[in-house]
Amino acid sequence: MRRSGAGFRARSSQSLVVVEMRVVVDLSRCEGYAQCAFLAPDAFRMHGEEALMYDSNPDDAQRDRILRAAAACPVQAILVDRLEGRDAPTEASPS
Amino acid sequence: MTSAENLQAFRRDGRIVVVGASLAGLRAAETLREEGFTGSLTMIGDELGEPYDRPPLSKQVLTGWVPAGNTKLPRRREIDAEWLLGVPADGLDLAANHVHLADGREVPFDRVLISTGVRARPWFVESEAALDGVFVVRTREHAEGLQRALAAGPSRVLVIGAGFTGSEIASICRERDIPVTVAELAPAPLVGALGAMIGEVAADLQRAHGVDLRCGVKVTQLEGDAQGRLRRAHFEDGTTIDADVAVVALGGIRNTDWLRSSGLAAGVWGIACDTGCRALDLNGLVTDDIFVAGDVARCPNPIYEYRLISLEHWANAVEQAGVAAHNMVSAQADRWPHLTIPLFWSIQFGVNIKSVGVPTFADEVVVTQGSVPDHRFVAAYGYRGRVTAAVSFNNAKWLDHYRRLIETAAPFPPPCPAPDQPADMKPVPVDFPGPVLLAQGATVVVTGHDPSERRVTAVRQHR
Ligand SMILES: Cc1cc2nc3c(=O)[nH]c(=O)nc-3n(C[C@H](O)[C@H](O)[C@H](O)COP(=O)(O)OP(=O)(O)OC[C@H]3O[C@@H](n4cnc5c(N)ncnc54)[C@H](O)[C@@H]3O)c2cc1C
Repeated sequence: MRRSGAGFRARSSQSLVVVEMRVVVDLSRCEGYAQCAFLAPDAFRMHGEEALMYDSNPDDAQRDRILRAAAACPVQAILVDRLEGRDAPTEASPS
Repeated sequence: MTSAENLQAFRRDGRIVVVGASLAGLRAAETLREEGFTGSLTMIGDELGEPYDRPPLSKQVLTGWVPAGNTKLPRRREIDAEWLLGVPADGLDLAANHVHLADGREVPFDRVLISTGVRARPWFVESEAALDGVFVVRTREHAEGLQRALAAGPSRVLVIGAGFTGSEIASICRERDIPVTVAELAPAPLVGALGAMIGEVAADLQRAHGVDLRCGVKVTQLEGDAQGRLRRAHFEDGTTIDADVAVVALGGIRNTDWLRSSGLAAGVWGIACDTGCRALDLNGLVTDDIFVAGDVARCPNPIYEYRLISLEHWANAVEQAGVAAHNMVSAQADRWPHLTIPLFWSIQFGVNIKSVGVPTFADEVVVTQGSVPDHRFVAAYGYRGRVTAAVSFNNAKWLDHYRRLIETAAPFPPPCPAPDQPADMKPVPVDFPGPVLLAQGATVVVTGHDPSERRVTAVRQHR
């Protein structure tokens, strides 16, 4: 898994470079096995016995753990950003 | 687009416009590229910024864990689109084949996908809705405002409407140790979606977590102070309650107003389409180049007697977007029907509630496994002797089993598939609230079964 360019880079007008991941869990598939909460506890947390809450845009420093969690999910419900260079939307100027 | 050559030319350099740049719009765009569409792709959306995920807005965002701006959706691939954001589309011209934007621009297309979703139904008195402390939750800005209000430690939150969103917000309030009152017109929470039996379970769950749950009541007025801050709410029976935050959770309004003079079958019920996601025109005829997906679509489902069904479900938006996009770039013979069985989840009071099928399409319900008092069970719904839906409380692993029962029209009541058979497995009437309670957003209701009893009754837009 290449790391470069995987996170989101803020527009060039800002000097700050925010590097974050994008994660979504298809909770209609999730059956609460909690593998993700075990492998990446900062990003995935169980709410009660079975319900999952998660950080959709976690810090890129957690990438390896999150990718491991996604790979370990028994129902493959975790989708992680596949973009290298994002085509960020150019905002229309409401004139 | 009749001949194979035409289709090839369209796939190579046709123009596709997507109106509504959220979950359904984004997933459709990705599928279009995956399927080899190399023409121009334009994403029109009235919200600024990148497409984001909404379910976290009433869950991990309101707990204060995930910032409202941090639910941006992951991308499955590059979509190489032109994004026209921050301006709504306000018209669709089917003769000229262009989308009209509110700033006067016209965007031409060969095919268009409409995925404009739903907006929150606002409180019915505008001046009261504008009070400081009154919220709805549909966008990340809404969620950000409400999370800030919750963080400020309000003395009491009033949640108006105990559907899924309202119940989730009440759950978060209790988790944050904020006193919360839930006001619901129906006899129990979630009854409109899941019926009276599950409604009772949901009511117990709320009360056990310290929610001041008031059912069969109607909030009639929100009162502010001289500074325009919410102070109290008035009920129809003359009582009042002091609260500094009110969350109006009365469901959604489909974003179809912009299609009013388009000639499409679009209205408060959504945009009617066929299972191939092609929009119907006012005459109910299928159009060739207009497709629909997500919360705004109203699609027939053969399992449910071909009735047109609108779903505000995340998984439906994703799947329907995939089917719509595939069909937009495929020849008639290669098209797919959108035939999935609806799936929904909600997280509240530490319980994972999931449903499969259409629970409102039922006359009976029965607990088939587990224990209701333990809040770990599955209930199956039946219509005229066949399984049409199931709901699980902390028992999601079994839903796929029930999905297959629905798909195969298995007899109702189904046997318990596991060792945890409940003591009492007697089906009871499903008991959905009467038409008046289901009338939110509808303009008429039809009652009566026999032709001689059939009547149309007008209903008010707001309750
Ligand atoms: C708080 C909340 C919690 C939820 N929780 C769950 C859950 O637990 N489980 C579940 O299954 N589902 C849940 N949902 C539902 C799920 O989020 C929706 O099904 C999903 O967002 C539908 O996606 P969509 O793209 O069809 O519509 P939307 O996400 O509504 O997107 C439509 C987009 O079109 C834009 N638009 C509208 N009109 C115009 C116009 N004229 N011109 C340009 N753009 C326009 C809108 O601003 C919006 O950006 C929840 C929704 C909310 C709001």
